[in-house]
Amino acid sequence: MDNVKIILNNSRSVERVNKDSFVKISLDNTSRLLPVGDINEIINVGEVFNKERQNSKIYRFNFTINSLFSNVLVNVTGDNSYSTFMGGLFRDRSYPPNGIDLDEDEDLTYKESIETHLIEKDGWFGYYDPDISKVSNCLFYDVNPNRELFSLSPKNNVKNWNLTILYPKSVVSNNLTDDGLRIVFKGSIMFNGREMTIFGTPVKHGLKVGSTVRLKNLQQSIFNVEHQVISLGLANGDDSENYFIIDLNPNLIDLTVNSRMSRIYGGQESKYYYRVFSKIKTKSTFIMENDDYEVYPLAFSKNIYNDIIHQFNMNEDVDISGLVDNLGRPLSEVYFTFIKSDSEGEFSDVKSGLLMPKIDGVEIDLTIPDIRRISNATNSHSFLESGISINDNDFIGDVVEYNKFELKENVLADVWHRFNTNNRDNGGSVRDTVTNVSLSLGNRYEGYMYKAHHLVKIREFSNYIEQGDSSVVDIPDYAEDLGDGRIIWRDLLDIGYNDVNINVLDYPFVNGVHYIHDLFNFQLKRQDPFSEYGLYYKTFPRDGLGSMMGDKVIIKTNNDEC
Amino acid sequence: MMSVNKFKIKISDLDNGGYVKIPLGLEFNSFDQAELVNREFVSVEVDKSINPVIDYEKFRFIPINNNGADLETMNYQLNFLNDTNTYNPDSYFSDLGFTNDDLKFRKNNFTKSFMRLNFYDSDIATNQRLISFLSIFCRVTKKDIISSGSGINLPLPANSFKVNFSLSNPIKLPDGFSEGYYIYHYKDEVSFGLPKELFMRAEFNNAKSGEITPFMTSNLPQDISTLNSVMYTKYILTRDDTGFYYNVDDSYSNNVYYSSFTDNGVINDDCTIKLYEIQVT
Repeated sequence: MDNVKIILNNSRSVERVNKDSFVKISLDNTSRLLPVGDINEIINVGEVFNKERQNSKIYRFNFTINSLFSNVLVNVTGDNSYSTFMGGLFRDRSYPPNGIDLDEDEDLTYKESIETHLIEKDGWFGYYDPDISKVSNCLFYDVNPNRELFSLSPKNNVKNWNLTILYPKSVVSNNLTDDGLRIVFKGSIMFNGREMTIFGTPVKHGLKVGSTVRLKNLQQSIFNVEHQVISLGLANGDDSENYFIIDLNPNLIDLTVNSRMSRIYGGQESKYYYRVFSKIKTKSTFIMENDDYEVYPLAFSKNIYNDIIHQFNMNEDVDISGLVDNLGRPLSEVYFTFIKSDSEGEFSDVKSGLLMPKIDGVEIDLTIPDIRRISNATNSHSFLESGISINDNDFIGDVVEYNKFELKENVLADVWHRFNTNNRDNGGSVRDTVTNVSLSLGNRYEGYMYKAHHLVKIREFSNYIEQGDSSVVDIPDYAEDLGDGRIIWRDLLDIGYNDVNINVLDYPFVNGVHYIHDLFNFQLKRQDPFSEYGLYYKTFPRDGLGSMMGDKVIIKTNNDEC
Repeated sequence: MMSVNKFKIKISDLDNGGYVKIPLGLEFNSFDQAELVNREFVSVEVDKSINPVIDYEKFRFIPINNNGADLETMNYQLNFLNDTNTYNPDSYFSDLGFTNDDLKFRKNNFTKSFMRLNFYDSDIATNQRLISFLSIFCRVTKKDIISSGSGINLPLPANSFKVNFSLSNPIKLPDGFSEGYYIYHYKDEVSFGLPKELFMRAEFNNAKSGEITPFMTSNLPQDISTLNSVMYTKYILTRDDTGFYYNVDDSYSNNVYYSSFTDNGVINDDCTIKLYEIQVT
């Protein structure tokens, strides 16, 4: 090592001045890197699986459909209809029957012919062949619309039903949901010995006992404030989801055509709207196409009504990457949707409405889209959509309530579809060949209805609401900014994560994709089975009338030991 | 050992405000490169050690002709050598040793005899992999039944029952035999515009005699050096936005015949694949 002395210039001579001096110091490192030893890295198979699983956005759907169909609403004219029973072979009871001489005593009238021959078997209406000259008289013929027109699997390449997968993409609103939920009924009710006011809403109100509700647009503006819900339902407890009771004098309150209610939660008013469902994306196309799936009957598989159980299988992989729901959140649910086709002109166009119980005040308000009151008659209630087809891309899905403080949408009503046969809508008549009297069979506007969209849960949001502010990192982009510095959100849970739910959302992940299988009970119902909504056709030959179930309550007498 | 230069500066030298500037440039470099090793080596090797995700799901491929029309029937016609080492126009089960009773009573030696179609990824025998195989068992179908006139319906006699496998569309012709009509193959191996080629080699497993008879695509005796060129029938698997299909290539081998006929105004398209027992000169 060298020793260097540095002396300031002014110490050498009084005439010299100090100068900056620079010394280059080289710092050399002669040590070598240590050789890297053995490196062991443990891979957690569970972690790798979970990472791949959570990252995958590809889904393969496979559903089993247990359908319950019936042709209780029979065509009036044409083959295998009400007019068929006017035929000679149905009425001729003299031996040997020739189907021509129908005026003998033992021969049947038209009414007797229908009562004798039109029978129901496993929900299908039809008749046994009346021609006794046939080898077999055990062949059962459906009256129209027959079961082939309802079959889920295509017949001769004609699809009776179109199926698709949708997701909630956007929202719309109308008179039912604008600025609160419509109130259509106000009445008086005695509660705890005190007269109070009961209000009715067409769809579920979403309230509980003790909830705070804001009334709007009552005629007496003094009452257009917040109130506490005292009780729910009618006096007998029925329809608790549609009626609520407030401690107000009913004699002082009058509704307007625009009276509304909103639930208040933590001071925050709920919003009400319709969700619009759109077709989902597949790996190969931006929207799912109508040939991306197959429906076929499951072998040896029938339900107790002998209806064939079907299987829905997607040929294309669904890709949800980049899709967000109507609230801007990652998709947590999709919908399996049924759309009735016209089966080559047999059925009328499909219209949509909301399923709701029979609520006072709905009947007189034609703007309420009650699915049981929507028809092709002139006095029909208004519909949500008409001419619904698989070629559409957007469909109204349901009515929901959303409160910013709860970060959760509560479904208040489901959208149902209705259709009828064109034959019933158009009506007709039949001529009695014995009396030569023409009998009107009437225009029959009661049709069939079904729930269109069926929920398929693919992810869950946490029960716990996270809260942060602008300084917090990792806030998801769908978080709600409350405007006072607080930002709240619900975490999207990992698939298979148990977040105090009883039923953990968990489904197979293999081949790099998620497999979701579910069973759906798909029921086709009639609109007015008990003649409550004005669509039931009562004149002879009338449609079959439903048999209403009553309360199963037995009150024994004092002396009845049994 | 330090390898730096030493300087000695007396305190008195600095009394009058003198100073020494020592520029020290230092670029940090971790000594054992642990971070670099983890980032550039360990994580890469870990990723490499994890198997890639492979889609093992198979899909059903529907047969089509060269015009893209769905085929109603796929016919496999097997031709066996006779006693004179030539091919008859048709081979019958009696030629293989089956009796009428074997067919009439569906004996195991009949119902457990089968044609096997082996599908390879290449027609180069030294460098090919067996992808899948189809076993098509002998069956008596509706078209093989004749009425005896007494109300008892029996299968054709063995000397009239051709060794043909007629595989029909199970949806359009549910009375037929459909096992083998569809081909099932891996979904992700066939993408839009990129067809997958499979090469089929056939054999017949005779449960009556225990013999396995391999087949070729030519009805001419082959030299051993040319045999490989007539061993395979080429299947082309395709997909488009309407579905998954397969077509048997009639230009690759000379044993594929497409035909079309009209039945009650409906056009039916068929494909016949003729296979010949291997004969080497």
